[in-house]
Amino acid sequence: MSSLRLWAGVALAALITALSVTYAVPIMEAHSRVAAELMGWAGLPVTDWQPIGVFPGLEPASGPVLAIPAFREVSQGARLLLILSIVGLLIVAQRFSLVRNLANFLIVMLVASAVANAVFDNFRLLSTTFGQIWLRQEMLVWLLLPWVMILLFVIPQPSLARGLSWVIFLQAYGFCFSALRMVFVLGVLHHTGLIFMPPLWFLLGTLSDLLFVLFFYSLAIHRSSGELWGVRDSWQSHY
Amino acid sequence: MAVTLLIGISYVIIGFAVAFLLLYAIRHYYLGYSRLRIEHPKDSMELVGFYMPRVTVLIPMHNEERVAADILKALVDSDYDWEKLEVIPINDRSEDKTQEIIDGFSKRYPFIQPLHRTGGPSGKPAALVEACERATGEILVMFDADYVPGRAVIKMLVTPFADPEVGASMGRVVPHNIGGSLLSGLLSLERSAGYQGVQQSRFNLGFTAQFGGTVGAVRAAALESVGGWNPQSLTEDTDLTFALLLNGWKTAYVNRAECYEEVPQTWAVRRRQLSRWVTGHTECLHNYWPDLMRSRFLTRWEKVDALFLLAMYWTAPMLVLGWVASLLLFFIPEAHQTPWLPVALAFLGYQLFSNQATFLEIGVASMLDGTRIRSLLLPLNLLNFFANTGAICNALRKFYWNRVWGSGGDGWYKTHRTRGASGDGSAFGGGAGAAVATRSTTGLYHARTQRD
Amino acid sequence: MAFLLFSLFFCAVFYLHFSMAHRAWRKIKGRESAELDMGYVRMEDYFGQSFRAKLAVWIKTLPRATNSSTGLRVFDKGNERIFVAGGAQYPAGRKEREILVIEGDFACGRDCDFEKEVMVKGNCAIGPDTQMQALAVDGTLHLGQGSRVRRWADAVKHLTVGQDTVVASRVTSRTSIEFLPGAQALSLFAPEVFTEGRHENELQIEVAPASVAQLPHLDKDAKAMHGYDPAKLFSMGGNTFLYNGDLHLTAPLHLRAPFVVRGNFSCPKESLLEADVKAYGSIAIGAASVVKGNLTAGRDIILKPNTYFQGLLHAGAAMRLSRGVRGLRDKLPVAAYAAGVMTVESNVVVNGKLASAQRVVAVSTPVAWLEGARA
Repeated sequence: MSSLRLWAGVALAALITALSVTYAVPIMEAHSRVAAELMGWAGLPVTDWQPIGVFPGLEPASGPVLAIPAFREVSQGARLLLILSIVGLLIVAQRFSLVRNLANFLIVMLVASAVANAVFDNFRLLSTTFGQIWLRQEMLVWLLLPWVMILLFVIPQPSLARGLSWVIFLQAYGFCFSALRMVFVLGVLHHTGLIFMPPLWFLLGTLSDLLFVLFFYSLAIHRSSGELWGVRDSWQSHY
Repeated sequence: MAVTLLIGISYVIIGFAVAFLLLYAIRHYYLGYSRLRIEHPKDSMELVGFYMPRVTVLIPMHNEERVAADILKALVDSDYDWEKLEVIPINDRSEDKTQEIIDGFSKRYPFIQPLHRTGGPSGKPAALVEACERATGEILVMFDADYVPGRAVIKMLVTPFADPEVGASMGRVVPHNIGGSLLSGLLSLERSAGYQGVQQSRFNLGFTAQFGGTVGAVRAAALESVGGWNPQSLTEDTDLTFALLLNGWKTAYVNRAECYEEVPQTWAVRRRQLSRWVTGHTECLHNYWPDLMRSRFLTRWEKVDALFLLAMYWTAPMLVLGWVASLLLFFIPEAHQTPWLPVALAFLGYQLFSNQATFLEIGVASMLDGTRIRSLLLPLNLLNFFANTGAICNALRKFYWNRVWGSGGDGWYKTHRTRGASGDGSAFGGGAGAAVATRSTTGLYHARTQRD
Repeated sequence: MAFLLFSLFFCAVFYLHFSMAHRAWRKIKGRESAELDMGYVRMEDYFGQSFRAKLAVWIKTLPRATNSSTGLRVFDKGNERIFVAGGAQYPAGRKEREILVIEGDFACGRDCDFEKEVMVKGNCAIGPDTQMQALAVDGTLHLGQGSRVRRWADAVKHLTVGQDTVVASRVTSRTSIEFLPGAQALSLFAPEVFTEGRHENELQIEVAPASVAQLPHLDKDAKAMHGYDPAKLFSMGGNTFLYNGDLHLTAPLHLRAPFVVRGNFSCPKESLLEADVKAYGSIAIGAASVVKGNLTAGRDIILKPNTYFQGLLHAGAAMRLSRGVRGLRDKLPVAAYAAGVMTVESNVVVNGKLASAQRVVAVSTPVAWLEGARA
């Protein structure tokens, strides 16, 4: 594993970061266009796309205008879904000890959210504000991602070309997956209000970025471990 | 006013958490990277078999009838010269058939000299203290009762002691019950990262490895020089690592000295194990950090590395505090108006760095070991990660609570054994290795008797 | 309804990120790890013996392809074959692509090429500039000048590694190995490994120089002398001492306890080291010294001419065994290992092993250099 590989990774990461910064607004606009398409498939009644300032100094991107009901206005179905979710999580926590901590954390978040929504029922979150916060988060993830991927994908892969390909593929995948997640969360908010916001934000925010990187990383390791290092015996046969 | 204060506190917490975790992330990235970069890991494998001091193997046992025969049989099969080998199974007031099994082996093999304890404080450290008083070996090798060392492990563990600075050596534990439960499968990845990744990498970089108390060896003279085992410590192994380090002794890591172990298969058992490690580790942090900083034997980087090692369980509460503060900021409307919100949100991105660092190590270790199928379990390790975080936070809470109110005691802390005793010690089939070596003083030639 | 379907689609995509993990878990569920070889023991001649064992099985079990009139037996082994012949003599330039078993003596001319392993049950002489894969010989083995062995070479009797011959992996013999100038190998192991110009020294196993620096010198008030500063000495406990800095002694050393030097270490000729020494930097042992303990260096180890060592030498970088060095002890072989290049001069005899992570090289020792090196 030579320094060339590291520097090639750094060069690609720098290029992607530079492009992301230079074309930040077009990238965010493209994200909004993909999200708009997905919202159409999901049957979400977006009334408009308004300009949203994501970062100071940059031109605004577009955020969807979608009704998000207050706690008083949500349907009985939504409240039922809340109860079912809590019960479901309790069952999962009981049954699967490995997931218990996570399930308990989600339950706490749901209950706290429900209480907060009930007490502060004049609290509103606009869909455009949500879009703004989402884009901020994801843009920063897209800027950071190439640098993380140098170590995860470029260096350990058997060939440099394969490592660099993973970086480009994952950058694109992250973009698409972000749009999909954002649409799903907005859809849930539209139908059920803000009750599910905290756990969804927690699970489908940067944690999901972490998840998809891990998933593809495991695939990359799975493929390359047989090729590059062989099974235990072969690297130890030197001894 | 209160809201502003809450926002301010949240930023401080996030800032501190991010700084702390970023340091660990950088450290783990560097360790993972350097593990791959160094072509020839530091080791003494080429010298195995050429340094054969007198060895005493210590095996603390308490109600180990299910596994006792397996380890004793494995030690009988080891390729170490019997004239230089002494095995002391330490039976600490077992109430099952442990004593019978040990005595049976002792009758057949004179180098097995059992110690049956009937008095004194109970627990592994106390058992080791008593056994060390009668041990005659220059090097003391430790195995937990449920471990099954391969034939060459003892030789590999003692070779680093040719270096006079080495006070202890540590081998590698490999879980055998990978399919026992999803948890044990995930733990096998963790172990792999810990040994193949972190231990070897730190050793390559000149830092002292961590002595794990089993599949490890310690120089008797070095042990004596630091006052022996600490019977008060929950993790006498970590305690010894740092006691040795403070006196200038190093711990060597022997990656190839592999031994099967049994990892917890249920979360309840794992939680108890984790709790003990967290408590013991943090106790060592409090006991040793002042002396570590003042040590004349350690370089600056060695001190930094030692601190990182001791404080590693603090990353869990830091992470949780960071999450909570982030969520608070997100839901406080006033926080949305400030220009610093993006910065706070950006800190969420640190998860991408800091968590990935540990997964990088798992991936590196999986590649080096060639464990292709198990590497696909990585996404599920997120669940393990959450579970660990909760357990560690809970353990730390209890530790500091007990520190204030006082608690603890002696006794045995064992991982629940799921392996049944086979009686004849045939727990694991022999691999496709060489034929049986002779009991010659060298044992370096294959099947010498066939040629001579 | 549309959103419900979308949600199902989203959940499916989300699950996909866990699907491979789920599948992998189902594969390993209930299984025990079988990755460790519990029976593994390190054997220096493992490759040779393993090949012999496998060969014996193949010849017993594989189908015979043809039985030619020349007495050559051929066995089919998948995409390769095993040729078994009686004693053989190959002319120069012969190329062989299959595994070869010679049930007698074997010799080949120069510039031959053997792509697969060769097993010889008698004595074997390989011509100069020959290329080989690997070689197992039950008699004596002579590797001609300039030969290349891509993997290992193993002989039961005496083995000669000719001048400028390169063996990429291990060279092992149960009798002795002669390692001629220019030859290279990754490791050599035999009851006796020696280089050219061997003659029996008057082996000095005790030294008694007139003026000696005794270490460890525990008198902190003693003045620094012979290059040693007592203020830099610390006790680690366990009768082991640490010296904080470089230590270049000007009087012959008598070392009585394990010693760790945080720097470079050197001692002049006729020193006696009765315990283990570790240096973070390099170690240079003066000529005609006796080293009874082990030497471990973070960097180079140099044993000057006619030094006698009894233990292990472990260098983190290069190692040089000068002319006349002897390595031997009762009951156990000695070993020397360098992470860098190991250079072995003339008239070196080691009962045991010489190994390097890069290469062990035998060199000729011009007399002029020798005179300078005696200092």
